[in-house]
Amino acid sequence: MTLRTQIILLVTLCLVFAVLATAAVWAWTARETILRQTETDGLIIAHLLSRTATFAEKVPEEAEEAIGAQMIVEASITAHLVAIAERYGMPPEEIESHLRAIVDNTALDEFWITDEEGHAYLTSEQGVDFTFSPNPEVQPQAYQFWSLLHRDSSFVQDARRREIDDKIFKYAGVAGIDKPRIVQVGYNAVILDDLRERLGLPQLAEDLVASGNVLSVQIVNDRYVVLAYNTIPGQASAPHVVQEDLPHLQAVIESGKPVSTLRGSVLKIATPIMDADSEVIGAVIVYLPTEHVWSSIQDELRLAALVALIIVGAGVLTSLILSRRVTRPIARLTDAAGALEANTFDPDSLTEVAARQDEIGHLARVFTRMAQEVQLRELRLKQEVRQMKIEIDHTQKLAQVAEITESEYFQLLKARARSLKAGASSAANPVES
Amino acid sequence: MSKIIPIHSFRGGTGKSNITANVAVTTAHRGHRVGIIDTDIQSPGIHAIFGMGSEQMDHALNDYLWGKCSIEKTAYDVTERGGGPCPAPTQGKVYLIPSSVKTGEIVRVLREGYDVGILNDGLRDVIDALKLDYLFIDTHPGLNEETLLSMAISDIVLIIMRPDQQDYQGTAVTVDVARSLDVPELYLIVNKVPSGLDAGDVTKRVEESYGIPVLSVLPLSETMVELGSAGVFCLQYPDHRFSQGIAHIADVVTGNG
Repeated sequence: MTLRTQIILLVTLCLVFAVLATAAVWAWTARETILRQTETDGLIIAHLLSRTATFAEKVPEEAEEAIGAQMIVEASITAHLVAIAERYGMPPEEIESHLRAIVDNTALDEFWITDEEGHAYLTSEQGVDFTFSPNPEVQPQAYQFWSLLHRDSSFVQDARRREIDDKIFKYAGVAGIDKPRIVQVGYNAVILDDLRERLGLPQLAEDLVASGNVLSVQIVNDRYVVLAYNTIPGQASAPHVVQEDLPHLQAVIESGKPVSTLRGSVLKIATPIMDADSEVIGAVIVYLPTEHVWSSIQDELRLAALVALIIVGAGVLTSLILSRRVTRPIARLTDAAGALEANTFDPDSLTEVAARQDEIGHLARVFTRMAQEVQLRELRLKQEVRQMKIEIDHTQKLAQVAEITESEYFQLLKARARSLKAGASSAANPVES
Repeated sequence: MSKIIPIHSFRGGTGKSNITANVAVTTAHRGHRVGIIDTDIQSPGIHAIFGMGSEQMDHALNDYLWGKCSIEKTAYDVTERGGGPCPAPTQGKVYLIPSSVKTGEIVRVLREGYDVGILNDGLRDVIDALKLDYLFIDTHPGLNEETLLSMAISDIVLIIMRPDQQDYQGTAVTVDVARSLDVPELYLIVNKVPSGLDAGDVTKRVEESYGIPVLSVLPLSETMVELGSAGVFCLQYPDHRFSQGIAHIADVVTGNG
């Protein structure tokens, strides 16, 4: 593998690793942030819900209380009116007619005015003969007013459905002004039912689910009885607590602190419901969808992939340029080394590389200097070899040769050799001799 | 007609014995009957190249010179002893007349000398007896009586030198002495030439300096140094530059150059 490929591979690997790590951290952080945000949203919803639940329970109560007080006023005025009318001898029919005119023209719906025996001889309901009884078994609702005949001065009854016609009625009564009697007024309290209906927990639950931000909502009291629930179709919310939610609700009711859990794509947030004394009286559990979290993460990941692609592309391009910048001079140096070995090194071949101000430039300068020294040495060596002169001292040689050739032995040998050669040739070629 | 070819060098260590053995074997490979006589009685060596030790030598040249035996008795057929992957020549023969390696006999030669006339007769006799085509004489370095004799009776003289200042003067003297002995053919061989030297340039310079033809410029070879005297190099490495140089010498010697 060439140096260039190695550099490119290394840089690319580092980039891919860095980009992947960053993308992973990015995606995880995004997921956590969005989940956290969703949880916060859910907590706000749940808190709001728990506060609203408390409020929703209170408002109809307070409204009924106010109506009750107003009805006592009405009953008191009626008591005074009847006392005055009877003192001045107004016949009962006329009194009744005045009172009926009030009933017809005001919000007051009924009045019942009795004698000392509890018999309602004045009433807005024509043709009805009614006598109050102290016996709750006989009159489960009306008996409570009996005490006005001799003990209490006023009594306001909670609005409730009448046994006779199932209408919601509220009754208030005062004791008579002129003599012991019951002066009772009745008010058709359908408005309270409406108020309960509109402000009550079921409506709250329904509104919340209808808003589309919540999949499901359940409101339970501290005995885990479901007070209200609502859900979009297909979600598990029911008139009873879902088994898997029970531990969370228990934790919330016991600790008074909210709990959130992620189940698949559903974030469940449970918060306590407190009363005015900060006592936990129930809990709200809301199911929030997290699909948008995942779609946000997917968007983030797509963006991350695009950015990663751009970064890796830019990185590879940079590494290509970088590796080219790094490896080209090295390749030149390698070529130069090869050329030096092959005795074809040209010092000018490294001029460009040697001009660089970095380590490679320094290496090229040192290499060129060394190569030139090597070339010079080689040249010198070659010259020395070529100049390896065969030096012969001719004077000395002549003396040495003469010493031998002029010796008596040599002369004899030479003569003998001649004869020997002649003998040999005559032996070999007898014809010539 | 047989040819007597002494191989000389002014100084020792020129590779004289090695070249003698290689040229002789190469010549034999051309189908000739070849003899080698080691007249370097003071420091014999060529027998080692043919793998001969004293135990293989019943008789040596020394015995002949002192009249102990005939010259034929001292000749050994070493045709098969060259070693190496090349087969022995089918037609040719190589005979070796070694000098004794026994110290006592070497000392006696140094002390008493010998009659070169007897050597001369011996050379003639052995040529006749073994029907030699060529007789190579491996001489003692320098110029002494036996060297001069071998030159005087030779047909071709091969003088070996190295590219070394120490050889130049002595070689020049040897060449001039050989000339004055009317040697018919006189050649120089430059041996142990380092790879840094150009063979053509060496040939030119040597021929200019000595006025005689250079037969071969043989390289200084590490392979040859490794082999040493354990075998005939050109049989072991027939394609080596050295072997090619030897082949050229054999060509000239046998009249094919």
